Amino acid sequence: MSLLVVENLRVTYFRDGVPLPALRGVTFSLSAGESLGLAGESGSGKSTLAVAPLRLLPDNARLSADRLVFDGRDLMAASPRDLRALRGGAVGTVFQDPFSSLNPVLTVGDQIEEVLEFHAGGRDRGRVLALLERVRLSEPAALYGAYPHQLSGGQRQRVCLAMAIAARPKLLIADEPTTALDVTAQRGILDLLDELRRDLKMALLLVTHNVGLLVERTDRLAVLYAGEIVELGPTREVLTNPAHPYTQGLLRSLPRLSRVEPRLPALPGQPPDPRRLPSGCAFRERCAQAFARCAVDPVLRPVTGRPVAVACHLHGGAA
Amino acid sequence: MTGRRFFKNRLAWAGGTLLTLIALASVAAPALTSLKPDGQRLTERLRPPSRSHWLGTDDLGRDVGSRLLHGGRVSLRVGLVAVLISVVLGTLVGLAAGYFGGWVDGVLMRAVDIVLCFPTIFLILMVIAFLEPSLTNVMAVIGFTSWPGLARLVRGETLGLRERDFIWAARGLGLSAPRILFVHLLPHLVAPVLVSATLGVGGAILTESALSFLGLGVQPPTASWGNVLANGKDYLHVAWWLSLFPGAAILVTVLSLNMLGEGLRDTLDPRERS
Repeated sequence: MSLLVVENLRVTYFRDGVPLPALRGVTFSLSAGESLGLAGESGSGKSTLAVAPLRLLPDNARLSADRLVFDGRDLMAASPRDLRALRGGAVGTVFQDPFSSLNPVLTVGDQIEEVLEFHAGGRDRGRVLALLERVRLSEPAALYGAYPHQLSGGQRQRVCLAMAIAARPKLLIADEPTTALDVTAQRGILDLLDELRRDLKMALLLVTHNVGLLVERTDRLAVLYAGEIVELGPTREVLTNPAHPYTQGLLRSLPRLSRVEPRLPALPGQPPDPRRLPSGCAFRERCAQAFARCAVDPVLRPVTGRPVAVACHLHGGAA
Repeated sequence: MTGRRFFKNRLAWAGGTLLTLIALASVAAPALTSLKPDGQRLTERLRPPSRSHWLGTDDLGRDVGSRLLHGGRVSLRVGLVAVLISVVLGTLVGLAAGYFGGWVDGVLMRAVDIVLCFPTIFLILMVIAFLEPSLTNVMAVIGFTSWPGLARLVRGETLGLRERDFIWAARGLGLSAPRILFVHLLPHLVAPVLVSATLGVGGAILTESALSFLGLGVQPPTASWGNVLANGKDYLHVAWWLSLFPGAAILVTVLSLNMLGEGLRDTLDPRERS
């Protein structure tokens, strides 16, 4: 059974009454214990997708979905109280920037203990120390009373992870958890994520703009473009044999050590302005293989004979 | 860091020292003078400052120095209690309006606008006229009319803080609204509220003095700086000391509160520093 079912999820932000669509009908599901990578460039809607299932959106956002179900519970019908119980409870979230997502005036121990208080039966210093150890931080007793500014970025992100897993969630959502960190710290955090996911049997939704990070780390990969999933399949399959022209372009533009190039091939053009999306396929204006049918919105559908689904008229024959 | 900046700020330092001296003198009033503030000696009416009465005597032969020391206790108490009421109210209203937004914000801020519409002193006069003038009523009325400015300040700060990542994170971790408001947001408001409260104490002392001057504040024979001053106006041409000293007490106290407040602002609020 699926742990998380998302069907036709739409989120639109309104700025001065002007609608800015961030997600335009996203459909996917996630099984218990499975990990799904969400890749896309800035503005593709990936950070919105990370927080939308728990409906943690700013006041100027409107959300709709045909189905939004977590662990058998309909999130579209859930009360604010139910949603609050899920946030930090059955669904843990790690945010992008560990430098700003911890409160500077509260101690590390206090902030972790608070999550226990709300979701795991009460304050308990011993469990906080165990959690700090669980995220591989040395000297938990010293860290307990430390303030965030006394910690390095990697340490802070580990603290955020400890908060996210404090209530033993079934699903962990990580929104670019390593973007703000240096490369060595990145690796440590990703390895820790892997380890925690396996040990705690959590499902993982890992959002990133760095496709390279997802290799070997997620079961499936979804590529997001202009608020839609354009390709979805087993990570290895998508990365080695990309079906969508956008995925192909994205992968071609990754630097490789085995190949010396004077200049990296880049995708032509800019991501579309959410206020003026082209009709039909959102990628068609940048696509070298665009043809007449692209003026019709493509649907995400399985590619014959392969485990991937793609939203492109080049695949799938007759509509 | 913050401490060192504060001590470098001479203005704040001077204000704080003066204020401490005034407060200590008021608190220790009974020990500093053996003369009763309301002890009348009609044989010694309107005596100018001398050895036995440093600041002179009033029309009933009461020692002005003793009345000012004891009056300081009243005036400072009014200032502190009124500001405490105003800080609690203003902070609660501002926090709720800024954090919840929407209709909560609309209702609370319209309430603020309405309170601000009335000229405060007339509002206070009206209320005092209906209730009886007493120390408690004066403190309450000043407190309940002076919170809107603070509510606006706190609302503005809260609007900014609400969008900070750690508040989003706290919501993402499913913490309750009261927890986020009082544990995660409130500590970040201490600096601006403290500055505003310090300046507010000065304002409240002035209002109390004005009320007492008009006879609607602290009632005789209890001394407050305002009613000592009011009493002096009838004898302005024969006994200057009756008006000068209470006036100076009010001036110096409010001035040192303002200096302290400005100094605190420079120290605690990096944005206001030039």
